[in-house]
Amino acid sequence: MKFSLNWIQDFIDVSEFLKKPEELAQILTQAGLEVEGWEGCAELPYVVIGHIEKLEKHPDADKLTLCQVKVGEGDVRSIVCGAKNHKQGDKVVAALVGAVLPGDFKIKKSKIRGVESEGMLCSVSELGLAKSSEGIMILDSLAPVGESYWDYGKHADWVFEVNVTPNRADCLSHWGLAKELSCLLNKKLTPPKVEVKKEQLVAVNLPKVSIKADKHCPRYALAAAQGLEVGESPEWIKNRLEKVGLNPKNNLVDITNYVMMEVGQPLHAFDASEIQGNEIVIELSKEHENFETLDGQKLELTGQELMIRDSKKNLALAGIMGGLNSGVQDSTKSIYIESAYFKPGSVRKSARRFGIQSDSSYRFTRGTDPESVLMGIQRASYLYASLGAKLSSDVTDIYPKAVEAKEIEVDLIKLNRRLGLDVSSVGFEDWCSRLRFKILDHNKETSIYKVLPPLDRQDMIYFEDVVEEMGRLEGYDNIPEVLPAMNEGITSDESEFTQEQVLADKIIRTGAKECYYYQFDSSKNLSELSLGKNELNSLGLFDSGEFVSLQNPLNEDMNIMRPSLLPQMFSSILKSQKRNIEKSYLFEIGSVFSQVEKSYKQSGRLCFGLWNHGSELHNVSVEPVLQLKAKLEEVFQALGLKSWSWRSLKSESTFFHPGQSVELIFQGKPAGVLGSVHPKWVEQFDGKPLALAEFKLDPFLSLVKRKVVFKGFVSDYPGVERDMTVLVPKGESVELVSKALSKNAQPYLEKLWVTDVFDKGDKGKSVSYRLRLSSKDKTLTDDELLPIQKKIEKACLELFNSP
Amino acid sequence: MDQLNTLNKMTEEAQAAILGADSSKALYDLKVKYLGKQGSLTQMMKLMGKLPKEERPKFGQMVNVAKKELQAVYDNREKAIGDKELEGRIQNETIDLHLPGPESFVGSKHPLRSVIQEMTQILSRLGFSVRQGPMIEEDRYNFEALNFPKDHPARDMQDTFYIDPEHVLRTHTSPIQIRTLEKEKLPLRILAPGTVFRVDSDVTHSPNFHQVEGLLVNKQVSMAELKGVVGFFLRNFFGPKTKVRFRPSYFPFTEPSAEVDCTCPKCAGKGCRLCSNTGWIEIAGCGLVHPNVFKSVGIDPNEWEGFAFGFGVERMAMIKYGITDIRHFYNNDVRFLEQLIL
Repeated sequence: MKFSLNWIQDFIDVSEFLKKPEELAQILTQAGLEVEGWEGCAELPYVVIGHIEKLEKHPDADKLTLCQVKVGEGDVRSIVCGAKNHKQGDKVVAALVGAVLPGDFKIKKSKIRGVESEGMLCSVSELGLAKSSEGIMILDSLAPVGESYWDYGKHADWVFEVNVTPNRADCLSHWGLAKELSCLLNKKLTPPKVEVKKEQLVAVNLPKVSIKADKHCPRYALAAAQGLEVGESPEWIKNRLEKVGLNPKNNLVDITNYVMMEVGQPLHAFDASEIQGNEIVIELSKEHENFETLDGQKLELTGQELMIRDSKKNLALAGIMGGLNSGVQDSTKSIYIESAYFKPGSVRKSARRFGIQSDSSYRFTRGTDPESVLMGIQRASYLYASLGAKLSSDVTDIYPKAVEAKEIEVDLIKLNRRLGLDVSSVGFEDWCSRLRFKILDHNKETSIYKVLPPLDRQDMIYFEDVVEEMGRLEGYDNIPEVLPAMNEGITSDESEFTQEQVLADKIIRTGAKECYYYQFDSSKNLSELSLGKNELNSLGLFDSGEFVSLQNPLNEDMNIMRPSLLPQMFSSILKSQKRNIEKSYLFEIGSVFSQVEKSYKQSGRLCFGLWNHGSELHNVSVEPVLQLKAKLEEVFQALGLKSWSWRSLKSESTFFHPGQSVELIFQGKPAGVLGSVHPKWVEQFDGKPLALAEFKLDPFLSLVKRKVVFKGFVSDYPGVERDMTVLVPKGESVELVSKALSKNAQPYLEKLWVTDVFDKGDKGKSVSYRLRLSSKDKTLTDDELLPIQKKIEKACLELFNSP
Repeated sequence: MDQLNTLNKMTEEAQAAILGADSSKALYDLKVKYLGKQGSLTQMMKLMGKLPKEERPKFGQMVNVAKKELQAVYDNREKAIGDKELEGRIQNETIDLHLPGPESFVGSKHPLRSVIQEMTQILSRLGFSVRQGPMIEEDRYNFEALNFPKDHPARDMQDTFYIDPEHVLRTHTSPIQIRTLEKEKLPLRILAPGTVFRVDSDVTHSPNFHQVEGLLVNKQVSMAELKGVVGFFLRNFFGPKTKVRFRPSYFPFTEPSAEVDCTCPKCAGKGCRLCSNTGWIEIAGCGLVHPNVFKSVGIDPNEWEGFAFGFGVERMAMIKYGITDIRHFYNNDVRFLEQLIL
């Protein structure tokens, strides 16, 4: 909320801060009312009151005038002015050479159409006192020539933007902030003027008020103002409203807003001639009723909203907004002023239901002071009276059950222990009086107090609330820093967290760069990539249930919780490829989501991406998918895994290249997929070949958990290497050969690897293997190896019926 | 003595030939010719039989001397030729090492993981250990139990993503406090890192971001201890000269509550753009656990006390690495990842 220092000055002397607004900002911020900024101006030099002694036409321009302006004894300046509303003899505001107007507008000596001008005659908006204005400002004829206009107009002011936290509803008005400052600065308060002269009071037959929903509305007051004329508000009211960010509308409405900004009590003005049956009823709406608000929104009510009604119709959505049918109009002559205490929860529900936020609902939802109901209506009456209105001599005030503050028990010893401070009894009592807390009881032996906070401090409920008050008033800066003892409650990190860190480190060591993505995805994007439920399911990446949708997504590109990490990795790689980044190897450890009814499941996933179409210098022509496979196997080995296998996908993938995708089998179970992205998608998005993989996270985490134990060497005897080449027919995988070789080379097989693959066209591919064989207890001889070699050859022959 | 003449002649001839050899192949051939099993010097021994008995030892001795001498000449020549040949090979083997080798991939940790790890490591020195929880959270855990009743204006402080009326995307990692308090023994001290969500998006706000929250519960817990822990952490994270300031604030689940400022790590408190010339930056929220939070999980607030604090991971990382746009963390632009090798 915005606060004007000048306005606060009405209630408490804060003039010392006019020259040092930063000090006040500091005081408020350290008290928990964070000042986010301030603007304004304490003085405006070289801007003075001038007297137009002579006014002539500009010799060279029809639309300009040349004025001789007296700005001091024997000091007359000639100033060119383009306005039309001034005449000889007027008192005006002259900005002389050297002045700097708001918006860093520097006044310099200048020639306007050949005539020298020694300054500028100012309009209200040029002085920064209004957003717009017509013509220059004409002052009262008594204004003293030569005096600083800023001093004369009492314009020295600062407007502070304060972030008022939800607990401090009492500070949502100038009077409220003045009360807080009176506590902080220990200064006296002067309450707003409310007394209406007797001759301005008339007897009025006020409508009968009945509260039928006292749970939602504990207090309701009504007064009348008559003999009004709708027009512009006085300058000072408009000026103050604009300063705190409200647009002036007309004098009748402006006063309600002025009082709300001043004392924090929202008011509403009904046109008295629109009230039927001389009756006001406060009750819940009826279902399917219609209501049109002041600003023209047509609402269908639900039976839950608190409404203000007359005998025939709804007049207002209580505490939120009045109706179009009964608000102030140009013809309004007399009004009823409503001032009430509506319960926060009730107003908030309705305001949220219809998405209407008003300055009034903002205050009611945070909790207004039931005691300010009368102050609000009285202050408004005073202001209407100042416009010449007659006020009702009576005020209807229905308040069947007074809201009472609750006493709080405060153990001063405990208070000091919890803060780490040493507030004395005298200190505590002093703060209580400055906070307007009543001390009901004090047990000197136990240091236990019973205090009663004022009703406007609705945030004072618990002992801890008082602890905070003492902390902030004594100053958090005075609390020392102490480290808690390391004696109890110390456990270890949740294992999934630790395992994830180890896994990430191992993957990074294989050269992968880690990525973080949003947990959101777009259902449209997924279906466009044909990564629907069925495809994900056939890839083994989605078990059952539905995708999880958001009720209120930020936009349609983030409307679901992602069911797979693949789409985002894919699209970010496409972006990198478009920027001509020729290669990278990326990974993410993330989560995917699904739901069955209202039960939501979050599971860990591991995703990889790799592309490489960079250097031809060293003949890197290996397909990305094989490069990624090699990297993945490096990860598996880094995790200590000895056996894993890759299996062809059961059904043809639509996201992956059907001829370049496999399933990972881990401990006998499918754990995810590796493949080249289907060329269809790569081409559609103008990308280059890339490989992606997504795996379930749990099997990897469980590998991190494994125990690492040194088992000694396999063999101390030298091994023997044997090469063999197998012709694998077209369409067959080397998987079978590798299996046959490892099975038949037992018990001497130490290691087996492919050394060469040669494409023989229609015949298939000729694959060369090297086997390293060794024995635990001897050096192998040719005689011992021969039978094994024979066995292997036989097995290979049987495999494809060819050597 | 003819034999002697022959020996001398042959030795001279052999020496000349060896010295004249200019490749290791030619030299090897000469070795075979003169010093080999069938070589000329070896053959010389066979001449010995034709000599008178008394001259034989002397001749034998002379052949051996000649053989040794020749071997020495040979060895020298072999070394010289070897050196020359190596030199020649080295000249041919020159590689321009300004040419690139085959490139491989350089791995790196994401800055958010790096910051989370650093934060948890510093706080683990004070005995805090990590707990995690789900991102789709029940309203009860995210709000109700944390003293945000329904229709409380404090709910407006956090713009919430809803999944259904009873489930939200957690707006903070505080529900992990509740989950832990429900199932673990007291006293405890835990850290809750994790992804959180709010309906908000600009250069400093992301709808998906990270927090690390700490909770300590014991029989007696004070603001002074909270200040101690937060100060210890910030000095370890930003540097030993970092000053810490608490400002009163409001969070429904703590009372008293405070916002934490620390001296700007960029300008050391002198004032710069990062700190809007104030010398201070807002870095955390904290406070003593509100009694209603304890009550909501069946813990007696007269018996147990606690404090909690929460840091925004992205903000810490932005300050630490000089990042001005929060979206960089999630775009995964390789050019960004390549600059932050962590």
